[in-house]
Amino acid sequence: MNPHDTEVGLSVFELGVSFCDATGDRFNALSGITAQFKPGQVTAIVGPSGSGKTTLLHCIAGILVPSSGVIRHDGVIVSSLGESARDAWRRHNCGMVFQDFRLIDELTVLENVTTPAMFGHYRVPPILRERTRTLIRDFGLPERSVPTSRLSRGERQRVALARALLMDPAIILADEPTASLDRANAASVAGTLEALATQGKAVVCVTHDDLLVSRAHEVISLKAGRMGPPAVDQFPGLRAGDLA
Amino acid sequence: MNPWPIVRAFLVRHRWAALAFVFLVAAGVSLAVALISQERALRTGSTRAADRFDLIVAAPGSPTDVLLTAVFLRPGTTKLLPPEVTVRLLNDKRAAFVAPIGFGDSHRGAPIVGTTSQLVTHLSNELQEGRVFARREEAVVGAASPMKVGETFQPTHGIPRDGNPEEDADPHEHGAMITVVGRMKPTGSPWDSAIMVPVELVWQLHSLPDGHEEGSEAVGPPFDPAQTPGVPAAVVRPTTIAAAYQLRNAYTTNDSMAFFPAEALIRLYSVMGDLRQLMSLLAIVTQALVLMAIVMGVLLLFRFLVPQLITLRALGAPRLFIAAIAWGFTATLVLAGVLLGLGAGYGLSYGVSQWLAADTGVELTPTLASSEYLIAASILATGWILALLPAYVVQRRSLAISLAES
Repeated sequence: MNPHDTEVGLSVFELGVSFCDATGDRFNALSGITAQFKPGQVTAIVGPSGSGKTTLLHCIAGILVPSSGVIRHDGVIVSSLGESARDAWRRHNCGMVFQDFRLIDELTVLENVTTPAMFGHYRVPPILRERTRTLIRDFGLPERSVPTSRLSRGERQRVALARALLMDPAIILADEPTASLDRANAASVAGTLEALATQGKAVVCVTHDDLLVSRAHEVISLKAGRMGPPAVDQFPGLRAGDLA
Repeated sequence: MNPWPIVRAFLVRHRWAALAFVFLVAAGVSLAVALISQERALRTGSTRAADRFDLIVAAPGSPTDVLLTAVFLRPGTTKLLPPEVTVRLLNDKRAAFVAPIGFGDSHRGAPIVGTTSQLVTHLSNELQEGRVFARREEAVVGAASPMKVGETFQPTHGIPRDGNPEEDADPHEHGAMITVVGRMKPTGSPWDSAIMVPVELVWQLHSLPDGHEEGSEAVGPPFDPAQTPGVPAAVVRPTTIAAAYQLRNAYTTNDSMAFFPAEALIRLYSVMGDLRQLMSLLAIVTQALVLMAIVMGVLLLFRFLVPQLITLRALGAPRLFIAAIAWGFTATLVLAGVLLGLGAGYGLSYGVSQWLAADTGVELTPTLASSEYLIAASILATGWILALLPAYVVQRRSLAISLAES
């Protein structure tokens, strides 16, 4: 079935991205990517460096406009939206998590988590304020007045996860979310992402981490911008049936 | 949207650079503000000090020099009004009173001014304490004089220069023993620190005819035409406004000059005003350059903040939010600098006023008025407009390219 036929969830169809290199020649960063990112599932995007993993993630997030193909989410063709509309779509539908957390160290835990609410409101609405408190409590984060610079790496990634969840997005996009964590913290983050999928969210992770791949419901393997089978020996926990 | 928490965080992160920018703006604003405030304080202070000197008659020369000597009691050399002109002036019916002024002596750094009791009463608008002098060995002191009523002293020949009682003074004491009999009310002028004695005493101490018949101990008018010497200046209180102009014309001759103190002050203010305008223009140009440098500095600082800004964009922040952060960051620096500059400018003006008042005796009261607020507002507006530049540059960065770079 053409995954793009469905109106529900996030899907990409025949996605292509090309760039000009330093000499002015065009090259394909992504080509012919078709996939569906179902609600309730963790999808891992794997592949060697330079294979187009992050480019695909940025396309899904509406950060990068594809050269060809379509990105659709719940009936909205994201790839044809203007920049402002894509910003708004991303703000309300995507929660972003980064390898290096990308928190603002001088802000408190509370302020970092409420950052996405500042984009559209002068005062954080009570419902988002309450949600922030719930997230801080659920993620076992310290007092809200503590600057994030004083937190451990594991705690900082949990703050980043809480920030990604503030607007209750349907899609969680994570770029190497466990890469800078120790095994215990990486396992905790992997468990959280799995739990988010259980709550009905579509979780998409770019990762090299076999632990995270082993928890994925779907795996998209990229090589030179094209989809293909992953090197199974790189991911001992991967089951062949998991491949998208 | 609310970019202020992010702006605050970025200000904290770059606090030392931010403080340096704020101090740069504050330094420029304070200089401009202090300059304008001080010029006005000088103008109002000197106007107030000269307010009760209606018309001054002196030997031909520079009205400014005579004004500084006769009204502001600054040491200086003035030619003497010829005795015949002095006599004619002293008996002119168009004047309510004519007060000759004589200098040449001092006591503990305070100038001793020889004049008439009419001028003392006129300047003080009745005394604060005691009475006016009625004998040659009596004196009235200014409101700020440390001398007390009843105290006696011997005048020293010579007038101190630049606050140094010894310089230019031939430090021998005259034989006379003078008693303080009264104290003037504050006038806000150098006369507050002076010692006023009958002009006859000054003439007598300097071996000049003393204005009265030989052997007479009289003080004040009428003066004997045959015994009246020339004087450095005379303060004239005309009977009417018309009389003031008639006197001014009558004594503007080859042998004398007559002028209203306001005329000389206006010439001084004109020079001061031109200087203020030039300095203000320089201050504004300098400030514009400082603001441009700050804007460039902010752009450099924001290069370090690109990862955070890109993260915000990736989280869904619109370009306007990013522009608001960059604008808010720069605008806050300029606002803090302008406010600090206003305060520092007032403080600087106050300090200079205190110093000048101690040196000249002219009471100076610095204030911040609309012109200072206007220049501060102009700098603020310029800074806020220039702050759009980093806002524009920062929000223009491509999100995808920036993410790839970071």
